[in-house]
Amino acid sequence: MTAESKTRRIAVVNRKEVVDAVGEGLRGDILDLGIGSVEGVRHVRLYALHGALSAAELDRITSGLLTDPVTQEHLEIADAGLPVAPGEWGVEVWFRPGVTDAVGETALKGSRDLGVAGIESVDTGRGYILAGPLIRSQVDTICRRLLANDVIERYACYEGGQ
Amino acid sequence: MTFEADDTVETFSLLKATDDEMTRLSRDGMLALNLEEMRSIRQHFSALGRDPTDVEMETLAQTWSEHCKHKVFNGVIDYVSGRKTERIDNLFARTIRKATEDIRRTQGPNDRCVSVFVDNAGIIEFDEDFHLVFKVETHNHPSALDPYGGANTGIGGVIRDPLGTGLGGKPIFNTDVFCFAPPDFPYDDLPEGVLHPKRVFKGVVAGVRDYGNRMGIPTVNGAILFDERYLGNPLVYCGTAAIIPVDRCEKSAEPGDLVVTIGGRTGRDGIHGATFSSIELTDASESTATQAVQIGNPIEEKKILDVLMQARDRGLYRNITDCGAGGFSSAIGEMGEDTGAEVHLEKAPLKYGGLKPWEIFLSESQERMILAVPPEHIESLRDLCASEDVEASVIGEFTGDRRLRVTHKPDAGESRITVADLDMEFLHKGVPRIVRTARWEPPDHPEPPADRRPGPAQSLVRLLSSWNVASKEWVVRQYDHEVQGGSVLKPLQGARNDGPGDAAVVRPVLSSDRGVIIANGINPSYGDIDPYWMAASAIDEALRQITCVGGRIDRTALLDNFCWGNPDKPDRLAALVRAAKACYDIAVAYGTPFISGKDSFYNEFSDGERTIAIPPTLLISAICVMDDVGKAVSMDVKAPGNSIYVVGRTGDELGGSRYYRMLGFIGRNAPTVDVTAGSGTMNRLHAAMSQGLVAACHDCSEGGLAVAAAEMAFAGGYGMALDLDAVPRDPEVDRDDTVLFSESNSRFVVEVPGGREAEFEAQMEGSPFGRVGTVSGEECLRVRGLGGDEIVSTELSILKEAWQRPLRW
Amino acid sequence: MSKVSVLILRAAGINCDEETAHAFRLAGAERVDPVHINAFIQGSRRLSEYDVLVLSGGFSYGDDLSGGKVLANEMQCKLMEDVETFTGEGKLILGICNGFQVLVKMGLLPQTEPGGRRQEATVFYNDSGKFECRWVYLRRNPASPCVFTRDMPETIYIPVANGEGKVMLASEDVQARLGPGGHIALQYVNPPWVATGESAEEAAGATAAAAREAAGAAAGDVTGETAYPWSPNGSVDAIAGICDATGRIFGLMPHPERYTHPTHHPRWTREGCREPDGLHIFRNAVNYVRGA
Repeated sequence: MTAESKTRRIAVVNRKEVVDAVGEGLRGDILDLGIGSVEGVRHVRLYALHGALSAAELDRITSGLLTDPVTQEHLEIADAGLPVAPGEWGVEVWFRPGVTDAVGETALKGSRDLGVAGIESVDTGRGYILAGPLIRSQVDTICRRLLANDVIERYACYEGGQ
Repeated sequence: MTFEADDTVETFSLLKATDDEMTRLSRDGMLALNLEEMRSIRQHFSALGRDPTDVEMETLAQTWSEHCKHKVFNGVIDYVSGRKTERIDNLFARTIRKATEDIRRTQGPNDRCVSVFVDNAGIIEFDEDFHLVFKVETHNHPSALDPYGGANTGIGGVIRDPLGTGLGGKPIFNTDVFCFAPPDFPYDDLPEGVLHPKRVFKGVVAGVRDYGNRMGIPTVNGAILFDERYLGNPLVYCGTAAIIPVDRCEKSAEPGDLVVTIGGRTGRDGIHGATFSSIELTDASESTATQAVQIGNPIEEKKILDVLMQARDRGLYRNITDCGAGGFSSAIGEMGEDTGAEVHLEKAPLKYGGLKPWEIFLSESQERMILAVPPEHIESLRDLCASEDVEASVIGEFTGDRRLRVTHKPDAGESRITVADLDMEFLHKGVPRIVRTARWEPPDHPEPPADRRPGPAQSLVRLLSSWNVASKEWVVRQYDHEVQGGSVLKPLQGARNDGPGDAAVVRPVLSSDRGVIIANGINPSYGDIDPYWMAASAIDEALRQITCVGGRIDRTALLDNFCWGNPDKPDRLAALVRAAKACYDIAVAYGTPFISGKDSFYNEFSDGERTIAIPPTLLISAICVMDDVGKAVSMDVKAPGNSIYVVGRTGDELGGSRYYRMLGFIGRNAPTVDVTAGSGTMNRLHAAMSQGLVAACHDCSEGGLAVAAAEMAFAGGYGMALDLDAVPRDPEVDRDDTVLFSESNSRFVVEVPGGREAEFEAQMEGSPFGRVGTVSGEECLRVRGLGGDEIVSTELSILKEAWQRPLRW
Repeated sequence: MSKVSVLILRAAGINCDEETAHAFRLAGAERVDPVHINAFIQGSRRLSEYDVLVLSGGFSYGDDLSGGKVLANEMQCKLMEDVETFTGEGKLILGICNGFQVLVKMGLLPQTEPGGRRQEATVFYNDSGKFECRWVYLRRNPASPCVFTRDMPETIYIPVANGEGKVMLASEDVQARLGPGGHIALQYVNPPWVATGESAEEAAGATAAAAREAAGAAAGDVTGETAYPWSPNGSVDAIAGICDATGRIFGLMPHPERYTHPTHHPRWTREGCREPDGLHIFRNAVNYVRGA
């Protein structure tokens, strides 16, 4: 059976009990912005895998390459589909077209080492799940001032439970 | 991602254009060519009877850019000071380059310069097998827009300079100096389009960290300065030193050699980088400049380095240069200046389709090097590159007709068209020289009144906590300063590995005890009073730091890096003239040649209402060869009972000092440099060190004697008892705070082992020195004032905490 | 006496190969070759030529997906048979920093279950959230079978430099087998100037130790009270280096090759020059091969 070429979006998150040092650092930076209502930041690594992948091949890449078996777990997500609970905000940051994505190149190399021939390219992004009573304008400020750089990246933010 | 193929080549309608139209063409096309330059181009093409293509216009704009041609420094300047006007024809040749020429002539057989000002970096002698390569550059404008990517590619770019010098040097360390607005700048006061300085700070540090660490090049030394005027224009200086075999310093391209690009593929990133850096930033540049921003891939560059060192040693290529600003156009245009070159654009490997020919030729995609490869070696080179997954492509050849010809096969078809055909002579020598006016008007800044000055102890604690003085450990520990295994003196020193070292010492050849010292002198604050003394002080500071760790000034070479505002404004230009004149005077007097340098202009930010220019900022980097690293000296006090000396004269020179800044003043008396006294002191101190008479030595710079003594004490974990009356000083110095905080040049705080004082004093005969106190067993800094009272009695833990707290992020 | 051949495996982003090769030469190895991994994948060179395989420090493939992951994956997919043969012949494998991450992610360390190639541990992002370059004190475990740490002082001092150095274990079962098996070869300990039970860091460490005890962890010779920054990454049980059950496969986060000259020591200008601690690890490897 040949799989058809499409894009699969994967989110890799730290397990609950694992220290999220990146998220913790960002929380401090958000407090510096004068936004005190943020209670927690979780950092998510995002991958968009383009190509014709069987379920087994997808699992080989996600479990075998993209996810640390001891500390992380992964899930396949839809567009604007971070696992955001009600009262939380999801932020996705992706490179603009044409910007060098070295991590994507490396993910492609690793996938090919695994013998997955059908993979065509990989884009990478970053996700953030912000907890705390925030309003959209605050999330926008956090995105513009901290999480994304409009010059090279585009971002989307959305509220959980919507 | 795919783009539609686009092989469009347009011609610029220049022959019939009016002045207004030409001005518009330049502005709309982001060419940064002025009217006079546009006229020269029109005249050239009129004689040819055709309009230029976009490839030709872009190539000319890029080659003639300030970034590449240094038109300000090489131009004509009418320098007006008072009633006197001086015409300076080529400031660079008459100051920086002349200093080196004069010094080399004087030194005769002792001249240690190998290659200066001609290659991508300067080269001096190291030992019998290797020479030393050094280059420092700036990457300011991109870092303002994307701190991480800007700094990332800044360090990536400067690493490629030594790599593209001679036949390629192997990098041995990086040094980085940053200037930011204070990290506690109020968010509400940020102009539109400006990133907050804390974000810039963190982003730049992360960018340098991630590139340097991944490349495996230790970042061993640096400085970070803060001033609100860097808000819209942060400065990011990146430097790399390398070693190169003595028989691999000569390069040339011969007709028939192949033009080979190796490394990364070409994309649309970084278009217009060179011309962009010659334009003032406005609040619109954040959105218009997308293409000028690039992201680096350090692993790609590491792979290039790995194969290049092998190819170099096997003699597989004859010439090499990096693709920096201007991309292929600049690299190939320069390498083929004496021969001529033909480039086949369709052979350049692209990241994606859709690039126009001029974009391929001008792209500043990172991690690419251009080689001139004799045809008989191309297969070996290809095999070598393939064996380590590095892409190498022949994209043309060097000819003998002294023309830069660019051809292309549109639509991947068979027919070849010429998209540029430029005379090398016109390309490189055709740029018209501009006459600018510089006008110097000495400023007058009041001195702070006596009743505005807090007590010495309180001032000292506040100074230690000021952004400029405070510990940069948070930054330093994020850089791998140990990789390559050559570390001798680290950036952090002392009993707890946390005191601020003056200069770093590196042992680049693991089987040898010969070392390299690297130091940086910079203090834009004095420039608010007189840029002449700012430049003089920067040189003195760099040489002091070299001396502190055991270096000799007669084995030291300098690099200059000017970051300035808009040179079309006469006051900015006058500051440049004065700084450059000081560079000549002081470097010649110390006998320390300039071997390379760089300039960056137009560091001004405008948000429509106000224009903020950076303070004129000159970075002097010093590099010194040390015969035996075992003689190096660190800055931490070593043992109770040892004597503390102050060497060098203290004057009433608080102008521009950190102390006055803290009080909200600038003042009148910037520190001057007495070169005769300074070189005498440095040479004698070196001799004393060679005889083991110095246990610790620290440079008096920002915060003066008080800060230097405090740092030595808390780094070593022992207190000091000092008497200000024993400090050698000018007769008019009669205030405690002047002695404590004046930033007079050529001064050192020296710890001498107990019992060796007489030998030390005999050795220092001829220089001003005073035995000002001793290292004590109690963990407290005590200072007796000129009046005999104890004016400072502060626990080291308080001083150290004040110094460490601000940047403990 | 047999000649000792050491392979320093190179790959994109490996950047400590030269100083590691130098350290092995100082330790007396007759042949030290830095060779690119492609030569072994393509078959132009063979692992069997060597007695010691060294994965040195650096950022293999940029550590783009996580530290050492892509190189570990490449070795598993393309060189695993050769590596199995190599270890089966009783030869030595050393992983330093990035190389340690690779060995852990290949499942070669700690291998608490004989023959098991499952990944039992990981090396994760530092608790501090930052790359850390600093010198650390390490205590060797005299009960460990590790051949690399056999003949050396109880405590050594060498630098670490990494952003991902936090050793974490996959399960309590692994943790339970780790101590008794002597897999923990090196642990971070407090510097001489930090007395146990006195510092603020110590207090934080005590909490961690209590938490571990509550989780039923084996105490044994573990010196878990070392706190940041003396234990720079937040590793469980302050683990700095791990070996397999045979002691012939060993990896550590700190860099012994960066203390092979007296002037490497951060305080040589105040404490004088002495025998560099890092050399012990390389000498042990060379001497083991000679004796084998």
